Amino acid sequence: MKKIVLACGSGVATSNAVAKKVTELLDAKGYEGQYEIEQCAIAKAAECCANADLLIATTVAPAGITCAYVSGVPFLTGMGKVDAENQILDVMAQ
Amino acid sequence: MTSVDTSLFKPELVFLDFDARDRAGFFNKLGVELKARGYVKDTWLGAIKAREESYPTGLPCQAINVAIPHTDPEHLNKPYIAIVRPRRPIDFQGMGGMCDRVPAELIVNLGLLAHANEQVAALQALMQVFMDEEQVARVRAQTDAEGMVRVMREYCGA
Repeated sequence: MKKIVLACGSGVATSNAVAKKVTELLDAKGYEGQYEIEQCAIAKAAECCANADLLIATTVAPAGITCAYVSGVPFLTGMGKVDAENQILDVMAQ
Repeated sequence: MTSVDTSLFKPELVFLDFDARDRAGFFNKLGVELKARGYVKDTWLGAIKAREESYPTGLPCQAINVAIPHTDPEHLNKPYIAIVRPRRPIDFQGMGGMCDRVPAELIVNLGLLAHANEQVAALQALMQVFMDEEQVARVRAQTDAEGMVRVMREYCGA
């Protein structure tokens, strides 16, 4: 089970929209049931990410994060989305 | 897929040819308009400016440069989505440090309450619009508030 943390400024708006896209991606690739997504405000990301495999955030990577980080912005703009998807799938494959 | 609450789009929340010199001027002016219509509290202006500095919201989308400034629900009286087309693009910083400067041609101020799925669905639907050249062309072509609301409800309501 992979733990993915989805974070934005408040943990409500953009992280929620990105979480839906990431869920669609992972389920389409056959990972349904093999991951859990937790949403949080970026100010609490270090805490949320303590035992996480991946942080996807619509902010810059916060200090003190030891897990992998992928920007969630491409899921909003469509620009660079394939790269971001591949980075996430790489983490899932590990 | 959760359906979008298209009642969030209203003609009184559409501002075309909005004249603001910079980001601060934009927030000051929008704050006055939203306050007059009862959507935001006195704390909104300071909160949204601070939020934008810490977590910028400029997005260079495939078909248009936009910004989606928003702040915490405690500063709102009721949910809304305001659509502003500035007379001249207003510089925002890129979300997530993706780029330094995004001259936003359209600014969508999201007044969303926490964990309201219909509202997050609206954000997702908007993002789909901004990736689509044809839909963006129609958004750009609107000349009045009613037309803008009609187009947004059509594209986001499906």
